Parts: sequence; structure tokens; C-alpha cells
Amino acid sequence: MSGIALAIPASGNGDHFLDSLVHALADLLIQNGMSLITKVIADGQSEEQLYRHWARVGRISGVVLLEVRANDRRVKLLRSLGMPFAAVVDATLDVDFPAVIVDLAASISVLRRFLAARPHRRAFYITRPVERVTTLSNTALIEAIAADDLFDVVETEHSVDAALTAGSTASAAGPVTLVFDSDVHAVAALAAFHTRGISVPEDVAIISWTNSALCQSARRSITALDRRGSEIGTLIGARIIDAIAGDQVSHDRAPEPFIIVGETA
Amino acid sequence: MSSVRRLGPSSENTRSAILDMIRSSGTVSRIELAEMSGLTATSITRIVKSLIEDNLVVETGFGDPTGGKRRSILELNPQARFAVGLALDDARLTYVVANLGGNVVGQLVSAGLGQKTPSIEIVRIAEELKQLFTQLDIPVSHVVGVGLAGAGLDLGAGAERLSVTADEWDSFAIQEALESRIGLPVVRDNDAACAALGQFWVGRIPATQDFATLYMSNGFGLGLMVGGGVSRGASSNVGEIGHMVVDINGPDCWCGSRGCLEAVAAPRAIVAKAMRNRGLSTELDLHGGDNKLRHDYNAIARAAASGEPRATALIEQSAQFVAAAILSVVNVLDLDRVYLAGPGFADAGAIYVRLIRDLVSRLARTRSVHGVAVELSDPGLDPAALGAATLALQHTLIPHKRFERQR
Ligand SMILES: [Zn+2]
Repeated sequence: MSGIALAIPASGNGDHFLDSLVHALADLLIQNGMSLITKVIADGQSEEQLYRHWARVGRISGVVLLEVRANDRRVKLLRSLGMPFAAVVDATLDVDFPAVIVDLAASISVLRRFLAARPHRRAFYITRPVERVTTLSNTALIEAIAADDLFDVVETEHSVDAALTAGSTASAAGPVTLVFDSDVHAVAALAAFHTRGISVPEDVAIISWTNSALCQSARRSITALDRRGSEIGTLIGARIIDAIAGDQVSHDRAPEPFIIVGETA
Repeated sequence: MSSVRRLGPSSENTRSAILDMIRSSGTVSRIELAEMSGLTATSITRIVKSLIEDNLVVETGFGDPTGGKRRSILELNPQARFAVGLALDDARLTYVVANLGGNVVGQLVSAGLGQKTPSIEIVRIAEELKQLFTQLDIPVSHVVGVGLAGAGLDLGAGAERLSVTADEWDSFAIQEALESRIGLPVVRDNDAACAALGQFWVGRIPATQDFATLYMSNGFGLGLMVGGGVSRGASSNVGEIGHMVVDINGPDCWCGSRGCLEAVAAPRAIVAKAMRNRGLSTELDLHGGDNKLRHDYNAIARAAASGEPRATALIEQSAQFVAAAILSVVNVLDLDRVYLAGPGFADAGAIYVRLIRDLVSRLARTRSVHGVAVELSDPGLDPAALGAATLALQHTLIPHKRFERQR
């Protein structure tokens, strides 16, 4: 069976956007008689070593790249190794390789429109530390927010406790909207505010930047952004299959993200 | 470092018990190990020496930097050993590789068992394991074993068990066959028990918190965690919840009973009902045959998740039976926590959670004493595969905690 390989940054652990992308990618590959192998990598250096290893031992037909940046070293490396690849890239990049283009600005616009239609209140984006963030979406998101006044960005350690503390501090001075980068944290915050008798969404509105089954099955369904992880996974699967067959140029655009309006915002 | 655990000096499991103490402590000194185990400092020194020689444990530095006697600190070397968990399923095989610390280092997802026979598939599985170790750059000598998670065990059950379509899987001794082919120890448990173990492992659930994991693939299984261990039963078939009778006047079940949960609420029952609705089956491109069971079920579940009314009605009907079964389990066992896991809950899990939560909160006998949390397990991982890897780690490295299957 021919295998497609994917290196997953250790910091992407628990990111359900990435999980839904990988799940849908695997489905498409299986339908096409292929398999998917993933390896968790600590940093960029071990990622490059891994690609060299895959080229050396063989049996990997192609590589899927995440979070490609301008002048990405990995693109050059994979070309020099002769390994077909397809990448998930942000719309701000010009690419000359097979790719699925994700317009992150669209996610932010969707959120902006959603918040604008609601009574105005301060909004906080609660996220793991920026320098530790490596998944495609969050890095660019924070860069975009930095040039914008949509939210105040609160960086915390990536843990439920830290996110809850940050959320509580932010909401101490009156009604706010809290956007959590992690669905797990959004669900935990809902439970914590409920225990303390704080009304959601009246006192604190909660939005998850990542939709998942957890958001939909929470005590009250959590308003969340569907960033189309499954669809992107299927599209990148088609791109890598075509790339192996010789198509080195085709791009797809990821479908538009949308808000799943739940009971928390 | 909560309590002193006295260990018999002649126990052949002493070494593994010490290893487990180091693992659960994070970092620990030899003196602390002696205090925790009740062994002499000499015995501890000897055991630690052998663990260090095997590279299972490393010295990380010195404690007490402010003065006094400097004590070297020990910790587990997570990269020293690995185990594989393999979840056997119709739709996909998921291999999860975990290190000694229980962290996932890589995964392989390949085609499911489908209609192929065991003699063909066992060759493929052995080959895929070999490929996995090569691609992840893990020497086979560092792999302690393979855990298998699959539907029920040893019951001589019908074709519904491991594969919906290939009866041969029923009588096939996969554990022995794989062991002799790959030359590594292979352990096996049912998928629900593995999922509960996986949930326990990643959820950082305290050992004092008992819970049940309801697993849905083609059928149902219930994994019970009691006191931090999986509850097994006489034939390791505790949790055959699929054959709990939920409708005494319901349809015949292949097990000989009627109105079983599986007969009225499993994917096959849902697809059969959907096939009777010509409009819906055409719209969702349903095939109706067993070889397309998962495809058909997933299409219905996705339609329900996006609010399609006919599909939603079918899933809700199933969820009501599941809720009734869970209510009985909660009442019998006085549980306060239930997780839902497995491919059957991947798309429409939220509907099941909602209906189970609603019924249990209204009707559980214990409702005035405590609530019952009903939650989906982490959607990002395959808890059965991770639990199977954990099982293999425990089986080989901490045999004093091994939960033997009784025959
Ligand atoms: Zn039955």
C-alpha cells in the first residue's frame, strides 16, 4: 500500500481543527487505496531530518505540509529529495506548488461580522503563547489580530487552568466576549462559569475558535467557528494524489468558514 | 508520594514495581524509592542500577541544591521503549505508537478489515507494523509489544463481531497468529475496555473516579474503569451492553434474544430503517448492503448532524434506546460519569449526548444525590488504539499491574 506522510508539530497536540483535517485526509486516502502515516515532531530541525529519513527508507509516495511560510526551507528540501508534496498555505502567500489555500482573513471577517451584529462589549482572544504556536491558523490569526482592534489578545500557558484564570480576569470588570483558541478550554470555561453562577452569554459570552463535537455536546452548545478542517483535509488529499500523478501546479481554495451559532454567544 | 507500598523482597515483579513508582513520581531519589517501597537502600541501588543499564531510567541531576547531602534524581526515559495499539475496525485500521511515558509519537491509518479474510489481513498487518517502525525510525528492539482492540472476545458470536462481513474472523486466533508473525508480544482486549483505558490515560482522570465508556462501532460495548483499572468479569466480556434488552417486543437479535440494544439501535438497524425511506436513501446515496454499512451510517449521521429532519429522527430513535440502556447501567452501578467513544459517535455524537443526558438527569435514581456527567471522549484521538497501546505497555513493563484475561 502506498503511503502519504505528514509531520505534526508537537504543539498541534489537542488541536481539533488539525484532527478533523487529518481524519478527513485519511478517509480520502483509504478510499484511494493509500494509507496515512503521521509523526509528531518537536521542531523544524527534526522535521527536516524526518523528510530526509523518509526519502532514504522509501515507500512514502508523498508528503503533506502544514503551515508553509514564505521561502519555506521545507519546500526546497522536498524538491531536492524528489518527494512529491502538497501544502496547506495561507492566502497571503504566492505559491508555485500543489496547495490548498486557506484565507485566514475570512475567518476573522466572519467573526467580526458576528460580533458587530451583537451588543458591543469588549472581546478577548485567549490563546497559548504566540511563540509556541505553530499550527497554521493560530500564528497567522494572532499576527492579524495584532494589526487590528477586534480583540485584546491574552496569552496564557496552554492549560485549562490557565485559560480559566485568564477568562475570569478578563470578565471581572463587566460583560465581555471570550474567544478561546481551544474548544476544550471553551467547554471548561462554560462549566466553570455555570458553577460560579455567572450567566452565559449575558455576563460572559463564549466563542470557540475551533468547532468540534465537544462544542456541540457541551451542557449548552457553544458558538464556534467552523474553519472547514474536514473539507480542507479532503482537498489536500486530492492535491497530493494529483501531485504524485504529476500535477505540480494545481491549487484549491478552502471553502469559506462560518459560525455555528450555539447558546453561548 | 502518598503512601508506602510494601513489596515482597522475593517478588519477581519488584523491578517493574520500582519502574512504575519512578514513572508515577515524575522525578524521585533512591532514598524516596526506598521509603515508598519499604525495600532496603541496597536493594533499591541494585534495582535502579539494572534499570539504568537497560536505559529505562536516567539520572537527571541532583536534588537539594542548597546544601546538605546531594542526592541524584531519577526519572523515566520515555524514548527508551515504545508500544503499538491497533484498533481493528471495518472502516479503518488505526495504529498508534506511544512511548514509555504514554505520549503518542506517531500513527498509521490504513484500510479497514472490510470483507477480507483473516489469513490475508494478518499478512498485511504484519507488513504495516514493519513499515510503521521503519517510517517512525523506531528499532524493533525498542518495541515492547502490540495491543489489539477489537469487538467482543471469545464468545463465538455471529458475523457482527470483528467484521460485519467476514465470518472467518470469528474463530480466528488473531493474537497468536500475529505474535508468531511479528515476534513481539501481542495482547488483546475488547474495544470498549481499551477506550476506557485510553480515556483514563489521556484525561488525567484520578484513579478514585470510576467511569464507564460506551463504545459504538458496528455494535456496542461498555468499558468500566473502577479504581483506576479496567473491570474485567469472568470471561473479559463485562459490558456486553449491546445485548441488553431495551424493547421486549422488539425484533429478533442474532444472539438468540429479541429487542437487544444492538438490534434496535446499532448502525445496521438505523441503515435498515433509512433504506425503507426511498427519498432519503436516494438523497444520501445509501447502498443498504453490509459491505457499505459504515458508508451508509456515516452519511445518515452527517445528515443528522447538519439538521436534516428525517436523518435526525432516525438517529434520535437510536439515541433514545441507547439512553434507556445507559440509564439502567447508571442505576445498577451508581456511576456519575459516562463517556461516549468510537466511530459510531464521530458525526452524530452530540445528538446521543443530548438525549442520554436528558433522560439520565430526569430519571436516574441517584439524581437527588449526584449528577451524572455524559460526555463525548476527545474527538481528536482514537481512544481504543491509544488504550491498546497502554495495555501493551502495562502488560510488558508493569506486570505486577497486569490484568490477566481469565480463560
Ligand atoms: Zn442480542
